[in-house]
Amino acid sequence: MLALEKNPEVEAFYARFQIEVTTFERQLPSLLQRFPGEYVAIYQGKVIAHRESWDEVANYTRDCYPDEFVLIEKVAPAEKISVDMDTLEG
Amino acid sequence: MWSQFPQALNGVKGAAAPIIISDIILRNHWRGISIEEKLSRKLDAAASLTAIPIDIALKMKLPSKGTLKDMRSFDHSIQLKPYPIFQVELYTPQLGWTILPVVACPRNDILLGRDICSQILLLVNWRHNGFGMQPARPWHLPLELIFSRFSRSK
Repeated sequence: MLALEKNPEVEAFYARFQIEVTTFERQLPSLLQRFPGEYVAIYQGKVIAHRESWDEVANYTRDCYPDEFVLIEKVAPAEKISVDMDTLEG
Repeated sequence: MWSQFPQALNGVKGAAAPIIISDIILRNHWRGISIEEKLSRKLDAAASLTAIPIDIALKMKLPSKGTLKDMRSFDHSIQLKPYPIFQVELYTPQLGWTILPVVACPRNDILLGRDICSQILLLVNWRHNGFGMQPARPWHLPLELIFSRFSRSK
């Protein structure tokens, strides 16, 4: 296995990513009531957009936040996606 | 068409090294610019989703496609942290361009999962110590006929 160097940019991304994921999980019950089945964009702990399709949200975030990571999630009851991977990292 | 079997890699014996091919391309259209990355890849028939390096996903400004919240190892014994999913255009020789969601994680190459591998037929040429890939669809019926003949002749 190749040694992976610690990348500060990636480390910073994971910190931001965790905040957005936590925001989505915390707000999911209220989002389910307000925008069921829609896609939401989450940036810096806030829901910044909601649209009916992923393409619409992706276009919005690409135009308004071109250099930032914006989490896009579907507002649906939390489902467990199980992915089998034994060699995911490295 | 034929690629050579893998050579020793970082102390791994050649026979145990993964099959690595170096002609895969990732692409993203960002603000009218086409961003492309060419990388090597590993074939993995066990992974459900294709995995790409996280630093490449960030560099290419790929759009988010959600989160993989419940990743498990092959024997379902280890639960891993959530991973980001991104949307990307992926070029595979013989298959061409496909738009698909991929999981991004710390790694150096692309791990092709069953989402891609299920469309590929891997052909091994032992005489020339090499292997190649073909789109699976045109071969399904002829291979089914060949193998059904084999099973009848047993």
